[in-house]
Amino acid sequence: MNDLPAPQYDALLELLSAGCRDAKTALSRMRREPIELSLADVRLQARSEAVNRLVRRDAGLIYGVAQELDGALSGTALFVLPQEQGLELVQLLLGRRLQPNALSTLEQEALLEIGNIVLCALLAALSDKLDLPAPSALPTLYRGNAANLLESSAPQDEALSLRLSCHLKFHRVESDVLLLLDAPSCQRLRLQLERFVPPGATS
Amino acid sequence: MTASLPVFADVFDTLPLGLMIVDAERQVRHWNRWLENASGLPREQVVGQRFARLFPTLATARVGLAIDAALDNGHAALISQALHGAPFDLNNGSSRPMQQTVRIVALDAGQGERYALLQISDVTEQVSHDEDWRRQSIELARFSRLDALTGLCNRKGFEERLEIECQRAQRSLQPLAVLIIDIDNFEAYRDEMGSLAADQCLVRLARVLNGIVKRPGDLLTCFNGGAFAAILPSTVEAGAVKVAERALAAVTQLALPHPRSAVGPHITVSIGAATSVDGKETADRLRKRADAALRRAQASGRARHALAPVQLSPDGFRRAP
Repeated sequence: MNDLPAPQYDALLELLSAGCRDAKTALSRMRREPIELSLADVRLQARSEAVNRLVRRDAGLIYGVAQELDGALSGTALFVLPQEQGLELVQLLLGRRLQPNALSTLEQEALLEIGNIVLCALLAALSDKLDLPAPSALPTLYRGNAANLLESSAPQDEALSLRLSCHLKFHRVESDVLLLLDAPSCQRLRLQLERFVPPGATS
Repeated sequence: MTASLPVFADVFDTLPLGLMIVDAERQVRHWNRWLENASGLPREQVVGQRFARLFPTLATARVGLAIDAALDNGHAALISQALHGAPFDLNNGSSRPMQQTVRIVALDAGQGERYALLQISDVTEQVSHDEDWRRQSIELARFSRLDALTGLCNRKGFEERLEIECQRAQRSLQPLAVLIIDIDNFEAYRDEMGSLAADQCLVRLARVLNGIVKRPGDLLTCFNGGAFAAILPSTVEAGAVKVAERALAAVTQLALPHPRSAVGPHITVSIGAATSVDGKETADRLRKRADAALRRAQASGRARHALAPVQLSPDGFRRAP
């Protein structure tokens, strides 16, 4: 369950919505046509819970774009798609039919870039406003079972998860974003959310 | 102490990829030999210049924004060839522009000093390789009996199977039915919605029709251009009509929007059915009669089925004209 108090949750939602808008602008510009990106189901929860939801929903077979994070938010940022949706998203953005069940290296890089744009926009929105710098490494592609995301995680590790719907030309692609954070990073995130006063709010 | 080696500065010039360093002021601070060769721009003309002045169109596009993200937030970026082609004007001696993958990482020099390192790889050969691979796959699919999109048998598979089923029906004096299922105004749909949406429509229809043509021995096949055909062994007219009615209802229930249909707001199909009552029918004739029935269904308003007429044959069996 989401265990953030309502004001912090609202602040988090507001920041992530701004990040989502930035990602939408970047993707639409690249594609030269409007792409709708909407945010739903934002939760800060135990990592095992976040991963288990993916495993249950997508039979666990996913494409994941991962970026290691350093700094105030330390851990891994992940953009996750069920495998079929990953192929569909790349097809839609490239505007051409792909071979079934296979992405060439260059097509994989297109998927990496899409994940990279989404993750960096969301992270920038969080780190700018909350003063939590979180530099990221180059994105890498993960293909396999979602359950493996639990490897090497400590029981107290948490994950900030959200669901993203992408609408493009009569198509809808559902994806997830997971920030797998270590315990001190989560602590910092909670603290900064508590302090965060949205622009325009009166104290 | 690697950093203090006297050869360190030369390392950049030996690498088989482009390396550019941009500082926080967005000035280019390094431009390696590979980039000099590929761009024709000597280092002296580039180093010390602002990135936006050297590459005005890139500065406000994805590359420029990724450099900003690296310098402001420390985020790394990958700029893919598949989505951007050839962002920098580079040449490797071939006739087409050099296709590139660009990777951007932030380098922290301490005391808040940060640089963006751009790594530019030449992937032109890989692009040609991928294109060859795609061409070969299409070529292979032509020889295959499977439709790559839907996974159903293709026209070639249909012709072969129909021949076999006709011979079998003839031997056993069993009836045999053929249905040709054509998506109404599918070309207009493809023009309006694009080929990817058209592909998806075919896949969804294939899935639904597969749930109807499901008896052991039945075969659903997919033709190019938005048509399916079903071979139904041991099936008389009433059975063929029943399958056609179910298919019409199932496609209607899918309610896939079709903005340019002459029939209504959704995807519909027209179906032509023909049966060989006693198996005394050639594959070619059976298919032609189903085709003629399909044209009749289309001429009388589409989104319906029509059955090829059946007559008594001179030798006493009921046969088609």
